[in-house]
Amino acid sequence: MTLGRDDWLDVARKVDWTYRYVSEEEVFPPEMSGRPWLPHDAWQGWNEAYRTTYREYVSNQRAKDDAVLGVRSALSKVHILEGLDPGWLQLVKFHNGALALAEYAGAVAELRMARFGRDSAWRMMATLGALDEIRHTQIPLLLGHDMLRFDGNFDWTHKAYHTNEWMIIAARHLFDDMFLAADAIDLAIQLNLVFETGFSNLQFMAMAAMADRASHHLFEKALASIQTDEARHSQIGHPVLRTLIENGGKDRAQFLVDKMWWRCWRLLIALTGSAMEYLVPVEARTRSFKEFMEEWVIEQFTKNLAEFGLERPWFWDLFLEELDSAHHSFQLGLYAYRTTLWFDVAMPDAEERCWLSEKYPQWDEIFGPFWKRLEEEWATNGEAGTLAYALPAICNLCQLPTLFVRPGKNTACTLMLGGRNYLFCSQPCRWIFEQQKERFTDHRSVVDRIVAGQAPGKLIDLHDWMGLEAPTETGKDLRRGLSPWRLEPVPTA
Amino acid sequence: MAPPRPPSRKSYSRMATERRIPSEYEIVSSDLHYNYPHRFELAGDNPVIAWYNRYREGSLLLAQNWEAFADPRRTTYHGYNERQDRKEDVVDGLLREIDETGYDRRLSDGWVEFLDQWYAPLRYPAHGLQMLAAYIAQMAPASRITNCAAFQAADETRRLQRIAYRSAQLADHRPGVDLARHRQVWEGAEAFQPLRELIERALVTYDWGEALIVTNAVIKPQLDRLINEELAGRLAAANGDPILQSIHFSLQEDAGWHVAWTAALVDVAMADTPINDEQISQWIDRWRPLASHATESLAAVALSAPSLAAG
Repeated sequence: MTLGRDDWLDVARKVDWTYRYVSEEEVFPPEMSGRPWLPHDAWQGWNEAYRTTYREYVSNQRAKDDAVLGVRSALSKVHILEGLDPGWLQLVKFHNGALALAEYAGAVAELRMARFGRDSAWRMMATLGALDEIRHTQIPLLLGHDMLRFDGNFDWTHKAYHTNEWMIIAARHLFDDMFLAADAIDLAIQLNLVFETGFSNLQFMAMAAMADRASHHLFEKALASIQTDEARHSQIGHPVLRTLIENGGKDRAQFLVDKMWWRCWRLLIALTGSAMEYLVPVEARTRSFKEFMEEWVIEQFTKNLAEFGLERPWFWDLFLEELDSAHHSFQLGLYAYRTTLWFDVAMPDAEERCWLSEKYPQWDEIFGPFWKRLEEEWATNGEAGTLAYALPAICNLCQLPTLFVRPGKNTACTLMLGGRNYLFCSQPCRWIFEQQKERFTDHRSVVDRIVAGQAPGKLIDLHDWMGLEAPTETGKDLRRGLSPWRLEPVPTA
Repeated sequence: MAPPRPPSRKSYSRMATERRIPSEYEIVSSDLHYNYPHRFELAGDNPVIAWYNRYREGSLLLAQNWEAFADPRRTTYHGYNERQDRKEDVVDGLLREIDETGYDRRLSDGWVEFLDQWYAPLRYPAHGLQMLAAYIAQMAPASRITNCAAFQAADETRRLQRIAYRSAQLADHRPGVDLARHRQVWEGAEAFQPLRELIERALVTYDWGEALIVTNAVIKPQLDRLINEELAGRLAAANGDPILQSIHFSLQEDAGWHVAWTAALVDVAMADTPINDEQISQWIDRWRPLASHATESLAAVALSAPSLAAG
């Protein structure tokens, strides 16, 4: 009779031993393994909820890859790409650039846990998690490479993280903080628990549903398949959090959850919210970003918090208020500074405005006038009138422009520290900074670098510094002024 | 009318293949560590970044261009699972055969005792090797090296799980095999202690280059051969356990690749920076006595098996 998984897997999962020739603390140094540093006895109850063997892993993953690559060979033809909505294509370009190499950094994070995680079962899960993240790098790199024939700017799938493009600097700052420059305990909570169980399904599953409706079936298949891996390895976070709380680390746990909730929210505004509601064609939109957040993130995650006896983050009210407006404000910023992006940015057309007003009853009143003014600029001064030229104020924590929550309500704040005046988009960003000053004080935002002469102040030179080859790669108005209300063509097109 | 599209490209601009279109392996594996060298966004006194600066950028194994390394097997994620799934099918078949043919009943008491004492506890050092590979992978300065070492860590998981499965299967079929005792054997039996010392000392060797050389050029070639080809290989066959030999034949294929990619990497390191030759030799000289002592001590347990392997 063949043994079932439960008959033998514990024999393989639990293989820690007592160190004799070196100390346990040398093998698991606190700077990599994390604090509080507890002897292994405290960790031996570490158990993942859903178990997987190596044998099951290679078989399942092979089948999943076969399915995605099968669709790729059928559907990555140029004529199929030609049929895709132009806004949707920009979304894919944005997504690929922002995520492909970040996933690879995620593989390094999983490998850190595979070596410095405190229980063998944790290390084993993380070994498979590292392979997952290699997969999540390789799929977009492969699909992005196929798209180069169609649009050479898909080069940013591979190139983005090697550049100083400002949004990528913001992403690097976040991902360094979340996992690449974090010890095993912090990263298990920040990456696996908060980001992967809390937020990543929005980027992957919600986007997959829209990809389906936008007839980009290959992208849909890839995203949905990736999310099934995330669901497996994200469970690393729960037993780590539980052990931390059981050993007097509840305040620390609450801090990490609050901090990363806020930082993930900022990421989602930038990466998901604006793309979902300004680049996805209206007919492909299922729910609004706010509706997705309410249903997929807030409801699910508050249940998780309750399970551990943790509180909602202290900034909950501000977060709820931002749901109605932060990504709309951000979109205005993206539009005005679009030449510093690697993808095109859309001004909503009449149909999209109706949709936005329906989903966000105050949208027309708050944001309508800004877009109207931009239309008028197109009509009277051409593209030049629609671009921002002044340096934006950049938050010293999230590295995004300080333009939340909405016009008329400015949440920006400052902090004087060590003779330097730091600027923040909001109280939560300042609070995070203050809690971990040693982590963040030395960092300079893009604008700080320009002011200090470390980055060029002239836009043309700045494009070069950011790795953007102008005018080919620099972001444009999605419709290039071809709509009746934007008469002037983009001068560089 | 759709706006004009940016001109097409043949390949990613950072792929240094000149005019040649890069292979699928190159497209998905190259130049992915955007933080190397010294390119974290947070400050250098962050403990983890300081660790990288000290042990990766500051490693005594140096090269100008680690991107010159390519895995001789050109392993992609998809290729890895495809290959390993096929190999695991074979091992599944072997383990099923044990169940279906009453194989374990025919093993001699002496051999079962040997497996219980010297084979089953090997899952502990196998896990040590998994941890070592995971360390090499996360510290490597180039993504193609990281990928090889990450797949190696997974291979070590495979070996450890197959040893565990086989031990549990044997315990199911034969009284006297005690799964709860193996940790104690690993920690207590004299013949295991030099190996335990070797693995423990390697685990706290944090210079990236030294960890690579110690693990993949010193420990593994000797130990993998001893485990996969001798103890669970020829010795198993001599004791009427040819299926164990077949299982470890498959595991030794993994180990053969670990040697092959390491050799290719050492070639790149020496061609790039000739002084590496001396550094690598120093590490090998320093670690070889400990490693030889560990493998000789473990090899001697073969004498306690009922039959000795021929030759």
